[in-house]
Amino acid sequence: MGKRKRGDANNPIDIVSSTPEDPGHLSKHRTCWLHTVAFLHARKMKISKQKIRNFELTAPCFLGTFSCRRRSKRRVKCKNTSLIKGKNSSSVKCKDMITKRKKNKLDSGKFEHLLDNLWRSFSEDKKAGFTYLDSLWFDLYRKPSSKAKVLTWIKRKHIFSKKYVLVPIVCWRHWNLLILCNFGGSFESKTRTPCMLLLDSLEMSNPWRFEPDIRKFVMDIYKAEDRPETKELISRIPLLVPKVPQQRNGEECGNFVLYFINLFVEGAPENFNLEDYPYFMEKNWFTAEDLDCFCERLNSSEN
Amino acid sequence: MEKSPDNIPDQHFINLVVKGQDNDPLYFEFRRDWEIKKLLITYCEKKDAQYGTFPFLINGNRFPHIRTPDQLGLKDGDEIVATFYAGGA
Repeated sequence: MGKRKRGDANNPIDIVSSTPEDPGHLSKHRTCWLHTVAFLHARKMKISKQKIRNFELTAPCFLGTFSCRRRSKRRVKCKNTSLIKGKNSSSVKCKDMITKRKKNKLDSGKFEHLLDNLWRSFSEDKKAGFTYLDSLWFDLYRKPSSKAKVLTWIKRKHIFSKKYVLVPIVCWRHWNLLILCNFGGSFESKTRTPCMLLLDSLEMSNPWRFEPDIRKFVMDIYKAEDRPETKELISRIPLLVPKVPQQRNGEECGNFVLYFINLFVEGAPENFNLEDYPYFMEKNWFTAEDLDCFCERLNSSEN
Repeated sequence: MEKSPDNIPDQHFINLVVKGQDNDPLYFEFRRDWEIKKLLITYCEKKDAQYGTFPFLINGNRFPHIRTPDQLGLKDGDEIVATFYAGGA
């Protein structure tokens, strides 16, 4: 019986020696005295020897007598299993709904995979001025425990040597695209002043709610790289939210972000200038058919 | 494969830590020539989650789970970050 908590630094979980004879069936075995005693012991309840003896007599352990099959590892692939243990028919419906919803919405793994594919399809000289951050990083940055780690990862991307940095954001179950422009440029120059673009295909959801987080994020990036810019200058970097085509249902925003990336990389100006803003980023930048075509192409290239 | 860990020389072992978002890191002793997937599945089981619910990152990057610690270039004491499933619309 492990009294100490397993998995801490002094007592690592030893997969190697526990794997070959994993007593999976024993831990699931809930009827005999052995298990009762183990349970009480684990709860640190006191049991007298007499009591154990009684258990032994009244509930003999038949575990070794006949073989039992291991509990199946198969589980229903949905998150809310506990919620949908209702009637049979409704639970089936629920399951269908959940799997369907999961299929249509892009999760970060699938998104990264598609983005990798997309990135490979761009030509080298197009890509040269760009870099992108993993979609999980922004979300991780918002958590105090992993903040410092994310900043060291970003440091390795050398974003101050790039013209544009694409930051896909997945927060509150919604995808957005943040683009950091000209972060290496100086604040005095007229042609290459730093600015930020936030493309959101669901304006209703108020993209400005990201502003405090984005400001902190950018401030920390500057700090982590030991840049000479002062706090005031950094806080004055304009954050622009251009009007872009809007999604038609609750499942498209991941695809929108991918399409934004595709179009932006292809059409980004040599020098992003605030005077010419918003360039191509307009309400009728692309049509719904364009997006459908793009998604089809993306999905077919994957298979 | 040798079953008793005492008979395997030490260089075949690696200590890894998986840090989740719950501030409760788990430390693992693992073999260098086993697929990392095994470790990740164990982690998910310990956390009462299904394998596939957490995206895992090494140094901020995703990695193929069928690689071994050696192939991934992991060193003793290296850290794997378990994040939350993130999806959206």
